[in-house]
Amino acid sequence: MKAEVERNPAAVVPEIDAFVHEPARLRLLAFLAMFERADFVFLIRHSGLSRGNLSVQMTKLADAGYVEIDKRFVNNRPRTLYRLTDAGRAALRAYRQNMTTILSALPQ
Amino acid sequence: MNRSTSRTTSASPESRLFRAYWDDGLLDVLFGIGAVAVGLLWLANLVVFGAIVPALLALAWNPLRGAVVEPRMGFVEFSQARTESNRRKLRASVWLGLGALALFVALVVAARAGSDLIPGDLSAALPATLVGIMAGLIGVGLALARFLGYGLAFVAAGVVVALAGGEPGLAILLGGVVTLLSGAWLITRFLRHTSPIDEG
Repeated sequence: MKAEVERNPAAVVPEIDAFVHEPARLRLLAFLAMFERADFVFLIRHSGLSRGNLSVQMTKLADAGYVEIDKRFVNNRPRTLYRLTDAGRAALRAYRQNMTTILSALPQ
Repeated sequence: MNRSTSRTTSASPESRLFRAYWDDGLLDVLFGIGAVAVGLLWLANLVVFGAIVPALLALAWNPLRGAVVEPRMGFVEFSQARTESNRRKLRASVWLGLGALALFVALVVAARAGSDLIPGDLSAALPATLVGIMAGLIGVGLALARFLGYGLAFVAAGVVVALAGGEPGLAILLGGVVTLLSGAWLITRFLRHTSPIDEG
C-alpha cells in the first residue's frame, strides 16, 4: 500500500485541474453545464463577472476546447452564443469527482 | 453533468433561473391580451375570430421576446432534461385540467337537473373556466404560481358572470383584464429596473 501511494499519490488525494478550478472559469462552466446554450448578455446578467473577465475566460475555455463560441447578428445586434463541448463536460465531471473525493476526506 | 440525466429539482440553480426566465411579464401580457381579445370578440358576436388570437400571439412571442427581453436578460436555451421535465409536467397537468373540467361540467349538469348542489345555471361560466384551466396548465408547467392565480380569477369571473346572467365573453374579458394588469405591472417593473446590455 505504501509503495502504491508513493508511486501514485493522486490515487489517494486526486489532483485538481487548476484550469477548471479557477473561480471565474468554474462559474462559467457550471452555468454552461446547466443549459444547451447561453449568450453573452445572459451570462453577464447572471454570472456576476465583468465584461472583460467574461470575454477573457471564455476565450481561454474555447482555446482549451471546453466551450464552443458562435458569433452572429440578431436584429442588427451582435450576439455571442456559448455552448459547453463534450470535452468541457468531461473535464467538469472529472473535476467534480476529484473534489468530492478530496472534500469527503476532510475531517469534520 | 450528463445532459440526459441532469436534475432539475425545484431548488436547483437551473430551476431558479428557469422560473426567473418568465419574471419579465411578457407571457402574462400576451395571455391577458389574448383573453381580452377573445372576450371582446365574443361580446361583439365575432367569437369565431377568437380562434386566430392564440396563433397571432404565438407568432408575436419570439419577435417581442427578442426585442424587449433578450437585449436586457440575454438568450438562453434550456437543457434537454428541462424540456423532458416540462413535457412530463404538461402531460400530468393536462390530465389534471381534464379532471377539473369534467368536475365542472358535472356540476353544471347537476345544476341544470335541479340539484341544490350549486345555484343557477353555470354553463355560461364554462368558456372562462376553460381559459382558467389553460392558465393553470401554464402555471403548473412553468412552475409559475401567479398563473394559478389567473386561472382562479377566470373561474371566479365565470361563476360570478354566469350567476348574474351575463355573457360568457364578459367573464373571459374580466379574467383577461386581471391577467393583463398584472402582466403590465410586471413588464413595467422589468423595463424600469433592467437596462439593455450591448455586447459591443
